[in-house]
Amino acid sequence: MRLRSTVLLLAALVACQKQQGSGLVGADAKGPIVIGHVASTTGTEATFGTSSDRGFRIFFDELNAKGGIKGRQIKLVTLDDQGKPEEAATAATRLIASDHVTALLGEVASTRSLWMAPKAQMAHVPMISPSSTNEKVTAVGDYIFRACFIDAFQGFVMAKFAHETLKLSKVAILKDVRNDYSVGLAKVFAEQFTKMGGTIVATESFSQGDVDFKAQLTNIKAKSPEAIFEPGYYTDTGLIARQAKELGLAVPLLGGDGWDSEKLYEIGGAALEGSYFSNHYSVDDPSPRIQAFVAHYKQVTGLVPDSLAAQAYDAAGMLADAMTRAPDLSGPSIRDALATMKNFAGVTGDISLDANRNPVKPAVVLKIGKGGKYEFVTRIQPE
Amino acid sequence: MQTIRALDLGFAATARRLMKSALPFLVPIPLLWLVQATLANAPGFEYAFQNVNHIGIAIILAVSLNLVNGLTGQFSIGHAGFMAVGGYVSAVMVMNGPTDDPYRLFFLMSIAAGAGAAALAGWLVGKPSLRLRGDYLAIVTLGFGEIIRVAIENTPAFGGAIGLSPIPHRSDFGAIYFAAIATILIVNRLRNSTHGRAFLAVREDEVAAEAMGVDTTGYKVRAFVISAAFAGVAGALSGAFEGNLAPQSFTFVRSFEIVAMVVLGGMGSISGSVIAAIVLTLLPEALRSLPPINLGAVQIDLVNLRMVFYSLALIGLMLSRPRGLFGSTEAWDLIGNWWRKRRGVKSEEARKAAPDAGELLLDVRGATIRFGGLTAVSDFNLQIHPRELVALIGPNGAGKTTVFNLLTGVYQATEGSIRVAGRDTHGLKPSSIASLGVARTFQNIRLFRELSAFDNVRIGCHHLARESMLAAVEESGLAGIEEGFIAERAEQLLDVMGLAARRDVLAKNLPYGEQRRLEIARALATNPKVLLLDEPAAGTNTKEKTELMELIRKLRDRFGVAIVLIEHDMKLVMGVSERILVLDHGVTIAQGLPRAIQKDRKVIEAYLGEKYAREHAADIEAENAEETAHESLSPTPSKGERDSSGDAR
Repeated sequence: MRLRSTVLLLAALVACQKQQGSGLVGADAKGPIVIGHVASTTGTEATFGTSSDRGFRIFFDELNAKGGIKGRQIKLVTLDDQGKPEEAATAATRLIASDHVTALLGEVASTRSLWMAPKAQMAHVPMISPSSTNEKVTAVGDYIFRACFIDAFQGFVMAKFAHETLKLSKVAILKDVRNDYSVGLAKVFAEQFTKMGGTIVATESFSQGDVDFKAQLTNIKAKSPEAIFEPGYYTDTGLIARQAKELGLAVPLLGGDGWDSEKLYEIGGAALEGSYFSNHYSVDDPSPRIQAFVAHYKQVTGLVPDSLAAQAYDAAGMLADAMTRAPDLSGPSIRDALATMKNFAGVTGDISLDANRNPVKPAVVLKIGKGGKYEFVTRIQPE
Repeated sequence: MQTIRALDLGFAATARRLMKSALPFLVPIPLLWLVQATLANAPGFEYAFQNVNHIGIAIILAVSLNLVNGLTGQFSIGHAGFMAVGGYVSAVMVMNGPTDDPYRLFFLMSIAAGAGAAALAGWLVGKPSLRLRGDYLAIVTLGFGEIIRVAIENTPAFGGAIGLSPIPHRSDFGAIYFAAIATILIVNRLRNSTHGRAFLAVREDEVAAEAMGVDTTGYKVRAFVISAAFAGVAGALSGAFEGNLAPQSFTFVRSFEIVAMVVLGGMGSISGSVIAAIVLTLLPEALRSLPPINLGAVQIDLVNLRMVFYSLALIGLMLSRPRGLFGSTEAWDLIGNWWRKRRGVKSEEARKAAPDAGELLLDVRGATIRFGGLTAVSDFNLQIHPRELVALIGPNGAGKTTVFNLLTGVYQATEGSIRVAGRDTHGLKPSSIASLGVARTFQNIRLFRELSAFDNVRIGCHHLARESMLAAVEESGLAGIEEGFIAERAEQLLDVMGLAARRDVLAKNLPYGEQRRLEIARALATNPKVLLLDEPAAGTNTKEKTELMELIRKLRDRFGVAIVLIEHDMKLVMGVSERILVLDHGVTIAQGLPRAIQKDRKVIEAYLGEKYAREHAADIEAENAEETAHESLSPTPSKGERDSSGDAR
């Protein structure tokens, strides 16, 4: 009984593998072009996976309606990884080995992209992560790309914003020493801001999970800066904003996309109003490309696209652009086309790829307004 | 010349022995190598081997957790934490080690270091928490797993939340399956040794296990440490196979998945764990192929519900086989039963133990125990000489079983001293007192219910075994001889107690009277000098009582043990005991020869009752007359017995 069910299960597995093998849709076949997508469509991070999948599908549906690429339709196969790294690796392997995908899209989380990347690299299948910001992801190999800027770029963005838009010259830094993301942003900010002619008047540290920041804030207050660059996550940021206000430190806080959470305003409240942070995209951005995308997305799904959907839409766009320009649909050809991408017109801005396969693209700066509403301030172009 | 030859012989024998014990580990290597060389890296097999290797790692995890959750009956839900410890220690070593690793020797060292670190973590977690019972361990292990994960997330040297990469790819199908096979062999050999029976005894009944001389805390910690070490190996192999390690892999969800494999496979069944590891690893992948359903206009993608189907399948399997796929048996046992010949039961005279008659076996002086304000037993005195038959009687709640618990170390005396064979037992664990020569049975039978009669008695022989755990794993010569000796002794005891035919019956399936006798056989297996029997006649019929009376005398004569008996059946007490102590409210109200006790006013008032005294007055008179004439110690059947045996007919 139990043996039989195990045997049946094994047989089923072998059978489904065979089935997929026989429907071989390689780079040279005439059927649809198969693109794989690994996403957390279930589990605790299910909203991430669902958002990016919507972004991809909207793009490919549009593209297929226009006739596809090289006369062939695009078929997107999405596999769930439940938010588990080892399942992301297995799903990537399955898409590459059994579905013979032409290219791989995903993951949102950097950790899971890192688990997928070796599989894609080994099989010479180009992979584009829509939203993994950790530097290590594209460092895995020359077949791994991304559609978003890397973490540290936001240090540059906020330095440029503080210097050019806010016209500040004295800024203090308060960073989370236990968080690579925070340390990286702080480092780039300090370098760039000093290079632009500004002064870092104080550098203070905390550790994620701290609840009392008054000592650091008192030190900072003594140096009377015009703003504090605080590239932490939303929980710490909320607490820091409150305690700064209590100490009478009435200067804006500046931060990165680690702030982006509904919880931020719940914790920090009115103390946060007037602070700024950088992000990948804003629905309020008046750019016509974004407004057109938002309208189209709303029409199809009835939802307002979040930044994951916008980045997925751009990742699909980059892939389609490369496949159109590539002489054939083999992995190396698509890879070469991707590597030479210059000024691709994405909804989140013009995207070029640098030598490390990371996009050079604009970021947006948002202001936290009355009642915690994010207001679009400006778009910062890369150098 | 001769010495050299002897050495030579010794060396040859050692080599042969080592070879024999290592052979099962070596046999699969050529096959593993062949698969690794031909299929594992072949194009088209990437996905298959991704799953196959995940299964291998799951097998190591499930089989090793089975040692704790299945065999030893503890509930650990932190296995992923130990896996993380091993994985990270090994990965950090390999990443900072030499880039070129011929024969993967450095990788092997890193695995050993990972296993060692995980074992140490297991010891640190297990040592304090395993003393306590029940859910406590579950909570501590759950907490430990989470602490490890959070600690890794916050340690830059371990890559933080993003994880550790790239880890050199040094692990492959061959390495993973060699480790999986080794895990199965080692856990299986452990289970079939005296240590394995000790694990099972702990699972079945900790109090009884202690009474049989099994150091329960020690065995729990041992099982836990070994299991953690294997989890560390799995972590090391997994990291070097994926090229990545991430704290998100080691959440409590992962631990629960491993627990699910153990439960689904059957607690204590190694083959069950293996098959459950295969099924539960493949099931979520297989369910990816669920076809979409077309309901006219609506298309339902069942794939989106695959984890729902996975959960339903798990529930379905557990409902249809609540004790797991294999219960506590093994796939290979089911096959083995086909051709196994039943061994003939040998019947040999058990050797007679002849302790020095002058020795004082038990010497209790002024023992008092209080629970809060209540004095359960006060100023209790008892001296037992070799081969004495003493009864302890008194009304319910008089403190009789409490006295047994004091003697066996279950309770510590508040005041007074208890010496066993001249040694003060204060502060000794029950298992240590058992090894001094005190064995007991329990009022409410405490057999290891899920084990066979034979295994129950073999656990009683635990103290005889000197084999180390390593010897058990090696299956070396000494361990084999010991196993043979233990088996022989267990069979003799079953024979003496008339249970030879019941050798392979599970204890829980024996009739009540036979369970009582099996408990005595198990107690005798510890080779006691004093045997404490707690209401051996409870629930038995008149015929069995008569047999029991014979048996108690036979045990004394044959094994040379002294026997202390708690019993309410006066016919048995008066018939068998040479001396009687009467307890009431924890106080010794009388002690002396049976006929003196029967006439004692205090005893009649407190316990025997006027009715008993009246009914037996004539008997006692007659008995007295007879005994003065013959000075016989043999008891005369009382009136009550004649009557009731008449009723039985």
